[in-house]
Amino acid sequence: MKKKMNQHEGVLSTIVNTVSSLQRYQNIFLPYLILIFVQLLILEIFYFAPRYPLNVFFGPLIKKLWGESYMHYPWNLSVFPQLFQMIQLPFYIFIGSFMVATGITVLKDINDDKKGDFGSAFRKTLGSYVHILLAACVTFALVWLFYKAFNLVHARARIIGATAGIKFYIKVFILYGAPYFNLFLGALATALTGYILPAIILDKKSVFTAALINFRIIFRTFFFTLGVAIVPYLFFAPALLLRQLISSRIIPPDMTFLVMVISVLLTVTIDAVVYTSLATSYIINKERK
Amino acid sequence: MKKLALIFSIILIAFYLVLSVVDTKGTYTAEKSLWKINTQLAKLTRDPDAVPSASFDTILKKYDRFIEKNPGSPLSTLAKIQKGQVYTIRKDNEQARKIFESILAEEPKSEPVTVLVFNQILTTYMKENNYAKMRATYDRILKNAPYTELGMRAPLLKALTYVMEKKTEQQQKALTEALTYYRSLSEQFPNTELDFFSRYFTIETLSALKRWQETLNVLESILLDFPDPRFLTEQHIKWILTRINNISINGLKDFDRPGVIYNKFITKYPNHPLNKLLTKVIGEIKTLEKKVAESNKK
Repeated sequence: MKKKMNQHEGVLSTIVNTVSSLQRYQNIFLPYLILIFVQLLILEIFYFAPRYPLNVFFGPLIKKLWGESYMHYPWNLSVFPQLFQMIQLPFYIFIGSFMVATGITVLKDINDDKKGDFGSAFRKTLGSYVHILLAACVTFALVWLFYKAFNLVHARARIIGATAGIKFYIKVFILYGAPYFNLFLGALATALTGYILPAIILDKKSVFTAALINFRIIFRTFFFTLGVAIVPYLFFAPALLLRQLISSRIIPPDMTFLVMVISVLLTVTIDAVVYTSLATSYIINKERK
Repeated sequence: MKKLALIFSIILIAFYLVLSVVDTKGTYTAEKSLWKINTQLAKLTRDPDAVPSASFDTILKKYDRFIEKNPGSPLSTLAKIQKGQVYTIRKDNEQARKIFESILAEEPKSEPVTVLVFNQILTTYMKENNYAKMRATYDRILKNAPYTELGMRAPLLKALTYVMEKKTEQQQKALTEALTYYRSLSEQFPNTELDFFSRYFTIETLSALKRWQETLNVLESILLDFPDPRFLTEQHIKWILTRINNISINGLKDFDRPGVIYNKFITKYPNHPLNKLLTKVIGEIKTLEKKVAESNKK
């Protein structure tokens, strides 16, 4: 793994190298595999929440939040993605970010010609849990700000009254492109905070120092970092399209579960590629110094 | 890692299969089946004249199989109603009514189902222009579900069937009977939701009779006696104010009456959130009155 990457290695070659590293050193992907398993399990629980026996526990919650009709087919199919979305934030902050950090630890061990064992990486990463938690909060705060800003733009676009001409096309572009804008903003937030976790794990920095290091690196390598974050996220676009087709009823609502499964698989895999690429880039930058 | 991925996959698939199987006889599975049949029916009804009869027969068989598999379930009743609707779409109103009547004959039956079924029966008679039968059905609704929305509307709707037959005298008589009925309900259940809706329909009936002063009096009473937001919803407020303004200004040419009514409300309920709107409306009516007066002078 100790590969001295070409100083001018581009975005695509970085991503391709990361994918081949993930295939060769599968232990790096192991924390992400666990994330996939846990998320799919939660997804299944929420999918079956309106049905016996899970409705005994989830029934009152669903009725309180959405009403009785959402315990019944097919309206339940609109509820379970919302339930799943509700737990994404705490899940990412408390578990997801930790698993990403564990993956970086495995990467570091492999780079140092060690075994790269998941168990020992898990234990090593545990010591930095609080900093990892705070780093996840920083990323979330940035995502939240971006979404708020976009919501303002979205709200403004909705009140555009034009039915033809450039204003109309701007309106359509913003309203129909909203999911893709949100995807881009998520990727942008990841890019802007992508080196915090590597700094915490690889250099044992506190979250504040790691944030400074992160912004220093981004200042030097903004477009490269942005490219590494955004290119893999482009592969998520088909999942967004499928979701739009379901909400427009072009695809039957029964497909919602399958689309959500695909979304989880894609999201976690993309995160694995992005964070591993950024961590690898961090290691290379460090070795160059 | 491949071993772990396999173990995870097995756990997830097993979990999915177990939970899918555990509830096979539950409501959810039945709902899904019924939804699918209804979706197929919806596709056929887009252009029913172009659909071959065999397609409707297939749907009817699916409903029959569903009803057999789910006896006694509320969804079976819905499936029967859908079956009746299939016959209505095929213009076999007689057969449709047989099915609807069989649903009404079953015990126990809920009020929402009763109303749904009566609505379907009314639709079949409407398609045949059979107004006498429609009136008989309204009488049955009054007997079986008098305090539902359809039950409350029934006397007024019954009177309006005479309009379709152009029987003015009978219409006037029926409207007067409806008026008596609604007023008696208001007396029987004062200051309740039933009273509110009785007065609502009294207003509609008086409007149909073109008795504008009395209509205004009841509108005033409904506004003053039901200040609770449960009754004065946004929709009801809009309806009440529009009727008061239209009847006073356009009907009776009286620009002062709305202001009198609204000021009574403001005086009676000085802290009511509606007062801001009422003050605005009073101002707008005064402006309108000036404009009308000026254009009359010209």
